[in-house]
Amino acid sequence: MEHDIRDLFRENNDANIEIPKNHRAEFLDKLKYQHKKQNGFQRKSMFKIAASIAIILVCSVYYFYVNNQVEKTPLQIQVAAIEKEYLINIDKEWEQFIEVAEDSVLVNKYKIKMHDFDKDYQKITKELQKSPNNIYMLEALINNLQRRLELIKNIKEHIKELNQKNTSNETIYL
Amino acid sequence: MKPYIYSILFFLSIQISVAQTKEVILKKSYKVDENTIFELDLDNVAIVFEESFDDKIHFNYYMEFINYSDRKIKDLLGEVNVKVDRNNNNLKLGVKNSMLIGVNRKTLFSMDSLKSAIKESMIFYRNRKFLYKSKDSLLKQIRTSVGNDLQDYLFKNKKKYENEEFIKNQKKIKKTFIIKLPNYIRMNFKVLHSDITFNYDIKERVIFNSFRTRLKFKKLISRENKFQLINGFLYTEEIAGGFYKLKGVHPFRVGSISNSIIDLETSKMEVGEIKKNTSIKDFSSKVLFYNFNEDFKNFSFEGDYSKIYLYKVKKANYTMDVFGYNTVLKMDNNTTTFGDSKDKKLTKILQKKQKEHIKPSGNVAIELKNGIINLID
Repeated sequence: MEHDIRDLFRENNDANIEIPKNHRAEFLDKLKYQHKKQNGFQRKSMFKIAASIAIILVCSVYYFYVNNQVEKTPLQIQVAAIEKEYLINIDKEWEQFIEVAEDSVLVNKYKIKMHDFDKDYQKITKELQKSPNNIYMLEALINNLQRRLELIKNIKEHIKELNQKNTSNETIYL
Repeated sequence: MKPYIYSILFFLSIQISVAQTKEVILKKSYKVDENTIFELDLDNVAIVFEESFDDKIHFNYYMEFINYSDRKIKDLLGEVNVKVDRNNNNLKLGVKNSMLIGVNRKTLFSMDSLKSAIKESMIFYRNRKFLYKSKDSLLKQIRTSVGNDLQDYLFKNKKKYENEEFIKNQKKIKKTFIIKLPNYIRMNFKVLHSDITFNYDIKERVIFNSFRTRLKFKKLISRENKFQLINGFLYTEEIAGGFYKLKGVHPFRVGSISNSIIDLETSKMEVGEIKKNTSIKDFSSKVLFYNFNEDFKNFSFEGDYSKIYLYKVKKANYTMDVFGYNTVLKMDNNTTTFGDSKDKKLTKILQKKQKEHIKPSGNVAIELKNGIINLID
């Protein structure tokens, strides 16, 4: 069964077929098309991976957010209610004070005071976040609100007293 | 029988040691002399100052933790920062604690009871009449007071508001910081949210800057004292000199005052007795002068939006001039407004003349803008 390799070439007609003139251009087109197809596939898979990562990220963030939202203790709920009540009252008193006060210097001074109280209030709130059930800090917080409320009430009443009608310009001698 | 008793004692000792742990924070003494300056930079701490007689400053700071685990105690102690530096003849104490581990308060109330107590105390204080107090009764009040008006109210009505179940469940930290020092030491204080109590008369000058601090003194004697306080309260049996600037100090109670300049703002001041040469400037405070000394010489008050209470004026043996504009005078159940607020000119509202054949004890000069003056018999 020995073969002469030259006989094999002689028998193969394919070697004698002429290559078409546009063969090179056709080959290059096919190559380009193949490349495009491959790129599209890569982009699609990249997009899928990115979407999966995004979904995983969103789910994990949501999971951690939900789990980290520690339920408020009854004490915290009570304090929040007290805080809300005070802040509403402070706002109400402030509005009434502005209505009766004609002295802009006085109003500005009290604005600054309220701002100072608020700065202190923010500090206490920060501390309170660290230890939410600490009664000393809760007391400090309520004291701050209480002092603010009293201060505005007092000045409002003071102005109302000044505005009463019985006036005189005669000196009183004792 | 014996082993049985021992085992019970052993068991009890373990229980007690678990329930209560004492931790020493600072225990040191330093030799000092008359030139030593003691500087204190304090943040969230309660200190009691006592007099020492051995030319030394002694620090003794410890805490007792009740119902805390060892791990929690370790964590809490991490929030305590204390250091003492000595530089030539300056001794410096620095304390920077967290609010949680800072000052002592008596926790007797649940949030519910605290809330109702605050509301009721507010009504109580609003409705009270500002009745006359003798110097002695004010001194008694200063000595026995446990805190500000609210804390005093809570203390007096604790049976009504205390909640035993809440108290039982509370963990406690008892903090004790005592500094003993000779009375000749000059002191500079910079204090934030702390409780300071002096159990002796301070003869040398004190410079004091504080924010939201509760201060209780016996006598402040030096004329070189300089105080600048924002918020908190100040109780002192006597001020005999110095300059005091108080903003939002509520209340400021002083048994007697002399040779001092006071600058007030939105505070409440009560004075048991006005002595020699005192002047006060104020913006929007409530001020109660209960008594004047027999020889107070001069007292002046200038106020804007101030509310003044003066007692037993008709019987008193001093002269008085009150000037003002847009000011209300309340006397003998009559209320009258003096002066117009538009032209802002001071007019004479009231004059109290010298009594015949009697040497006056001094002169009171009052200038009020937008003020209210109450004369109470």
